[in-house]
Amino acid sequence: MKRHLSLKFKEALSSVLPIVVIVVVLHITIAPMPLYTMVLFLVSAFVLILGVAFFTLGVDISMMPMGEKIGSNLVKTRNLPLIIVITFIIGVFISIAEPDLKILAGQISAIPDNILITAVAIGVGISLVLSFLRVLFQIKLSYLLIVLYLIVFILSAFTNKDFLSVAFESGGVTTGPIMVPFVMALGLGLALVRGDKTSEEDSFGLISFCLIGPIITVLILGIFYNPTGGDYSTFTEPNVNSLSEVFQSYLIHTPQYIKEVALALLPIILLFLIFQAFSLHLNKKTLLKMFVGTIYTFIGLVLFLTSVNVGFMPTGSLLGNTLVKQSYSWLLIPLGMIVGYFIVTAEPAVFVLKQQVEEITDGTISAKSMGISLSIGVALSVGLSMLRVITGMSILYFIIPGYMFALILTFFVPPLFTTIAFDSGAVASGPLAATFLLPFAMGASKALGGNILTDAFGIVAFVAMVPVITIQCLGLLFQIKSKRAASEEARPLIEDTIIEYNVEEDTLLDDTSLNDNTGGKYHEEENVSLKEEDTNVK
Amino acid sequence: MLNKQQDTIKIKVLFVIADSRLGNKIADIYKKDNLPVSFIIHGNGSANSETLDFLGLEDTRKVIFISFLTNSKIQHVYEILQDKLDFNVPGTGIAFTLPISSISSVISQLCITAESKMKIESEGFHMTQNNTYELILTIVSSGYFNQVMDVAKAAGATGGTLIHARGLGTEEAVRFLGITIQPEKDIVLIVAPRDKKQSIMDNITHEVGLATAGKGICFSIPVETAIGLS
Repeated sequence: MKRHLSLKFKEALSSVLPIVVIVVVLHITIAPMPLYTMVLFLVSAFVLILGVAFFTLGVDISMMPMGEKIGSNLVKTRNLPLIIVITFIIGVFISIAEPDLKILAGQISAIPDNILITAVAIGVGISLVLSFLRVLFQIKLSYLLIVLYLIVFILSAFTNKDFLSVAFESGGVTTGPIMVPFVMALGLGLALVRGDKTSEEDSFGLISFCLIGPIITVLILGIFYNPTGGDYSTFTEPNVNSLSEVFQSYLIHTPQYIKEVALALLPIILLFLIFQAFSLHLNKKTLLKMFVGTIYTFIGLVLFLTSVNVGFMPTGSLLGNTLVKQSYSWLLIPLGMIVGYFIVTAEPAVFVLKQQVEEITDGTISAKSMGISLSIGVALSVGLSMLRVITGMSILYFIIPGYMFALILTFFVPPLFTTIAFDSGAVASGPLAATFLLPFAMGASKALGGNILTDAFGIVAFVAMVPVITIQCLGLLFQIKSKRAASEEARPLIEDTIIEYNVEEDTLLDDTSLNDNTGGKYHEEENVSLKEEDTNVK
Repeated sequence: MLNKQQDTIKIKVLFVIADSRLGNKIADIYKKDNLPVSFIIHGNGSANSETLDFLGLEDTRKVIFISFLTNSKIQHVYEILQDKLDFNVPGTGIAFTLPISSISSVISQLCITAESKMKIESEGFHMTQNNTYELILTIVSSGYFNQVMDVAKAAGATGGTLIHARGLGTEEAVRFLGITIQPEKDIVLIVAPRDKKQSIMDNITHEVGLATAGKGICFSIPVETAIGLS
């Protein structure tokens, strides 16, 4: 129905609108920007809305089912070496495909793009294998996370100081709009075929590993690799002076992103087709539907990436720069927090996460409460990053206590929330953070004369870290609440007996018994258990 | 321990199946009316339009509410569903009750207490009565939902709802390292007029039955009352 389409547009609109309002208000009040930069921004916001709507529509019917099917079929093979090889390949493929990573690599000219991307891809590949093995061998997520973050902390003591922020940043950036839905769906597929107690919580957690892997490999890269130049590439300041130039900048950039997105989607589609040929054998109708969905995803991603890169990146940087130049540098912190609060709601991957969480938990953790906790988390992280931009404090002062706290919380929080929390960190740090918040911090840092490579970078890492804490706090709250509810729910004192109704024989026996040629086989019926947990509405 | 009681108020099982966007509204109604025992299951409906479905523009997600209620309370819920949620417009959602032969006394007590707290002013309300419908339950291997619906529609079914499930068959479930792998199953709920039931079930057993790859089994339960069916 059309309802469905309009719903997606409404969602996209309501998530992008707040950012537009904030930027316009800032433009009118304290940070006036050139008129056509504003026009460019507004046009981009419109394109962004279209992009997000198409993307979320497409992901629902293409990427998610693809990942799900591959995930469950992979486990069904019960072939451990095959699972290891395939998941590694998936991890490498997706990170190479991830458009976010290309944006980051482009922003750092100190390290050649290919070296950084290779390091990240290997990191993701290994961590995806690890996350699958974790589920298969049923190792507790928090134990493995503690070990991995310990490795991160130890490595960060040895690595090149300039590499620190970049390393943490690449983790957050890699988990972008292609990887998040696909990897999350893989996890869901893995959970679908299982009947174990932990299958619910195990369907999350894959993405959180994909966040740490690259951090570790890039930190290792930093030990052996000396960055040359130590510079970051400045992106072109927006230089549009007329309406036609606004459209021109779109005309120039769109083909580039068409190519990029096509390259990003191709490996996933190929992988899926190989699976289809060897083990899935889906019918034509389903395949056609997925094909249409892939086209939506493609259109959505092209629109999305073009708009954020053409419109949001320069606006973000200019906004940060202007604010500082107007000597409002202290204002960066509250303003950054407000921007952060709203920007996370427009991340396309966040839609996927919220929906999946609501589905898996059958509404126990509502999309709304997830959204608010995420927003608070991102607001705090942007505030902290702005503090860092102004003061130039080392990223480790924040990252180490932050993750320590998050890891300690894992001992008190229900495991389901822990896995969702670590996933949300990875999900929140999407392309909007990379193209609006990061340039915002870079613009501010530049105007303040700080070291951009160490001060401004790290904002995406913070966006990936703080939600882990806030969502776990939500879990703690949830646990306290449900404990209280359980203690209030008094057990019935009366003896529970069975009441037999006086069955009117004629209504039931009169029923024509099914004339089934398989009658003799009835003893072979399988029991079927409802997969979804029954949720009490009360 | 059996407790034969003939004069107690009978409890029935009420199923409400609706678009998932109505889920919150229905949950609110349930909460407001203090309906004592209710469960939600998320499911998927069959597509209404081939083209829209193909273009991915149809939201087929459904919510299924299952609750235990007394007759008058059911009438009350029916009225709310029709007045406030337009259940009488075909395609919005359906609600139906199944008779039960026995129930644990605690639930029965809960339902009766809930009813006594409520003032009922329902009069002259019409719902389809007297077992004219049947609920057909089909359990097939995962992925055969569309095929089930195709053959069922060919025999006159108007729609169906899918619930994902897992088979527990001892031969099919296998341990692999630390996890158990169980085959996915689709449970299909179809409410159909009694006179079409036979041909629908014939079609299903013939096309996706145990002898086929779908490995489907099906059975039917008489429906007592229903609304929202065209």
